[in-house]
Amino acid sequence: MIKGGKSIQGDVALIIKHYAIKTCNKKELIDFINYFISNSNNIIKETIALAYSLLLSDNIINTIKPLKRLVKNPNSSIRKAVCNAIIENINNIAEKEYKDAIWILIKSKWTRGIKFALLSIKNNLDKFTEEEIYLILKQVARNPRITIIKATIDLLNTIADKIDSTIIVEFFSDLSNSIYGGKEIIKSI
Amino acid sequence: MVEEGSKIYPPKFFTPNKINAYIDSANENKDLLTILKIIEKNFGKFSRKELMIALKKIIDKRR
Repeated sequence: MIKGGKSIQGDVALIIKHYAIKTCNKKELIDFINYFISNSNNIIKETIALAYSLLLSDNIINTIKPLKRLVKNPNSSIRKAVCNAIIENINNIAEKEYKDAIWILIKSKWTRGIKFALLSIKNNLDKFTEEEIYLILKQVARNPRITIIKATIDLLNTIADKIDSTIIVEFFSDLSNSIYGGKEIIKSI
Repeated sequence: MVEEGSKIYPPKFFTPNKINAYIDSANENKDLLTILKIIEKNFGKFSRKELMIALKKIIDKRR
């Protein structure tokens, strides 16, 4: 094993990208990525996420279907790499898959990813129905971290007029259930 | 001849098996980067499986 020097994962990601461009047409590209995802260990999966980010940023690919499989991985470094791929290239993702990208960020359980998703929802409110916002808030309430709660309250401030008030109440009751000692805090108020 | 890092790689032996042996014998980070360049120039000789094994080996070696 070689120690010291810079990480080689970025270089390997570049090689994967070059291989993907050289040997596959666009239809086969997804198959190729899926082959790597299903046959490899966690470090390769993380490298694939890095390579996928490069493919997205060069507009070689604009679908995020393979990332849906990667985000289910229990290894947090893979989920972070997936989130970074989406956050850096949210403008290059196909419009019809925008909502999927937001769901991937929210389900990643990574604070920065969820915060970015909530900000993005705030800027693209017309793309989401009331029911979708309700489901997103339900999911977000399961991660009671201060950064996320702040971002959610910021989002609720802007959409309070447009959505049913019961949704907001339900969000806070969900939140109180997931915070340690939350029920007592609500009772004391 | 490819000459970078601590090793010298003669070009006529760039088959997947030989490259795997090169990865095993690499001593420096520079050697691995050279092997990556060699792989890139010889994509045609690799199947998907062979490429994945080689890349996995490189990442594991540098971990």
